[in-house]
Amino acid sequence: MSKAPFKIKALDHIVLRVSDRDRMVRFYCDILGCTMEREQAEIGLTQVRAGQSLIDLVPVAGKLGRMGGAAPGKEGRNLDHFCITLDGYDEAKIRAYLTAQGVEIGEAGSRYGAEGEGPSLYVSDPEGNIVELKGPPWNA
Amino acid sequence: MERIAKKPSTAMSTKPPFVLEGIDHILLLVNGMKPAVEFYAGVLGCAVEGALPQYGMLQLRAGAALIDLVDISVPEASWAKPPVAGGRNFDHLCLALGAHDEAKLRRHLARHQVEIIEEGVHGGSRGESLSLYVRDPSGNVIELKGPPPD
Repeated sequence: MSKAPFKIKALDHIVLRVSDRDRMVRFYCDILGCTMEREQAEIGLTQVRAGQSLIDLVPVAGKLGRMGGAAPGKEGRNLDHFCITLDGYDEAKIRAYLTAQGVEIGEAGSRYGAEGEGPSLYVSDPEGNIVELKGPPWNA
Repeated sequence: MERIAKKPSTAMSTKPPFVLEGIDHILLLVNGMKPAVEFYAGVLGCAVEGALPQYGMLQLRAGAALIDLVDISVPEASWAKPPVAGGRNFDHLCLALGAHDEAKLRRHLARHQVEIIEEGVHGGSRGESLSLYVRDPSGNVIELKGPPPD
C-alpha cells in the first residue's frame, strides 16, 4: 500500500435520503438548531449546517434522489447512525427539551467518540435515522 | 438492539439547550471488514483507533472525526443488520481533505484500482471546491473534497 498523498481533516457533510423534506427540516433546524445553509429545489437538495459540518437532505423523489437507488426506510438502511457533537451537555435539560418537542429519545450512556469517551444520548429523527447527540469528553 | 423508546409529544417551542459543533462520527454498514479496512486504512489513510469485535465493529480516525464500521456479514453485528437489504437512508459521506496535489490524488486512487465514479465542483461546509466521488468496497459512496481555492 502506498501512502495517501492527502490528509483527512474531518467529516465535511453527510447526505441523508429523505421522504418528507419539510418534516426533516423542521426536526434538524427547529428542534436541533441547525441553520439553513442552501436550498437547490430544482435538483432536490437542502443543506443545513450543524456547526462545522453540513447535513444534506435529498428527497428520494427529487432529481438527485432518484439517482440514488432503493428508497430508505426503518427496515432498510446503509447507515446505522451518525453523531453530532454538542457544546453544552446537560442531560436533564436536553431530555426535557426534546421530550417537549415530541422527539423519541433512546438510551443515554457514556460512549466513545472522536474526542474520547463522554456522555451521549440517542434520538430518532422523523424518518427513523438514529442521531447520537454527544457532549464533551469527561476529561475535557 | 432496541435503542429508541416512544415518548409522548406535547407542543412547546423553546430554543435547544445546546449548540451543534459538527459531525463527530458516523457508523457505516459494510459487508466484509477486510476489504473495508484495506480501503479506509490502506487507501484513505485512516488509522484504526479501536476494535470492538464483540459488536463486529472497528473505529477509524478521519481527522477530527471517526468513521466507525460495522460488518453486517458477521454474527456479532446482527444488532446492526437491517431487516431489509438494499435500503439506502444515506446517500454519501464527504471527507474534508487538507491541501493536496490533485494529480497525485488521482494517481493514488488509480494505483489502488479505486474508480472515480463522478466529479465536479460543488459546495461543501468550507465552500466550493473539486469533489471526487468513489465507492468503498461495500458500495458506500465517499466524496473526497479538498479545501476551496484561495
